[in-house]
Amino acid sequence: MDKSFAGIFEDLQDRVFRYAIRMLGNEEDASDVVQDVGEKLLRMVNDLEKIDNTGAYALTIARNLCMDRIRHEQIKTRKLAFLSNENNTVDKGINVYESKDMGGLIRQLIDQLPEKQKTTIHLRDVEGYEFEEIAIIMKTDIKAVRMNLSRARKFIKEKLIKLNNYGI
Amino acid sequence: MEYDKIRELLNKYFEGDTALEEEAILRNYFSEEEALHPDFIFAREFFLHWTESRQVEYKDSHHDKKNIAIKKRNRLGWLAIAASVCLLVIAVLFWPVQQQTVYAYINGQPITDKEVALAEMEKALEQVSQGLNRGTSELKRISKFEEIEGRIFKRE
Repeated sequence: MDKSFAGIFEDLQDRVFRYAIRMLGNEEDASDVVQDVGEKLLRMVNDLEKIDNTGAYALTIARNLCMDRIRHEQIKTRKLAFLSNENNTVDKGINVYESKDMGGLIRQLIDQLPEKQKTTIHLRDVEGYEFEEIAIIMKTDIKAVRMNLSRARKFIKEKLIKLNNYGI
Repeated sequence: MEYDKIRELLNKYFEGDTALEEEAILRNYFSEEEALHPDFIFAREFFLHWTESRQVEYKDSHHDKKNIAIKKRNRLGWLAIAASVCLLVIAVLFWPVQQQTVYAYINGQPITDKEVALAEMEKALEQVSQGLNRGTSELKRISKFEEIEGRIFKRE
């Protein structure tokens, strides 16, 4: 393996792993995504210098891979629901009153967000990306990034206030 | 006046208008401040979650296990290939011996020399012929006996 590539990817793999865990919800699938992103980057190792922001590029690949897996999982879930004569897909409802783990509660609230909002809030609040970088990763514009971010944050805030009877 | 500053930052934050530096101020405030104003308590877990999430590092026990399994499988594969090669070498080495034509087996011994086999065959045929001739003389004697017997006891 090219040494410079190993160095580049070592810096990126934590970011890719954190994002994949957020989207897929388990370490095993997240590890697979890290491996797949690494393989894709390795295949184009000679062209990496031409890419302005390797980190953003790696996360774009990670996002596509995660979405493929989620779609695949949704197809499987729909098939299972059809076979068992259930009309609804997976119920993502939360039971906050049974959950004493607040970190878990926040995770569940984030899980309820649409993919674009979930990706935006993760890239901003965990990875600390600028709006411009998030727009590149998500192939959108800054205005859409700000809107998704605001909606995601407000959704979590309102749920937290409502569920816990806190007020600001 | 810290209350006002944090409240303002929080409002900006939820509108998606804060800069990265301002968001860092909020994260530090909520991770360090113990005596929070009741209005801010809901936000503490929110910001702590981001702080904790940033500390997650890639660990790949899953692929380590997978790699070990692949290595073991590879080792077995190489062992199988080595055994096949050994068998092939043995077969090649002993093939010419098996290819020699055995013309006959005499007393359980294979005879690969054609001349010796022919000589042995002729000898054996001669012995058989002698045995057969011995048999014909006996037959002649029986037919003579029958002729005499016929003369004495006339048959119809």
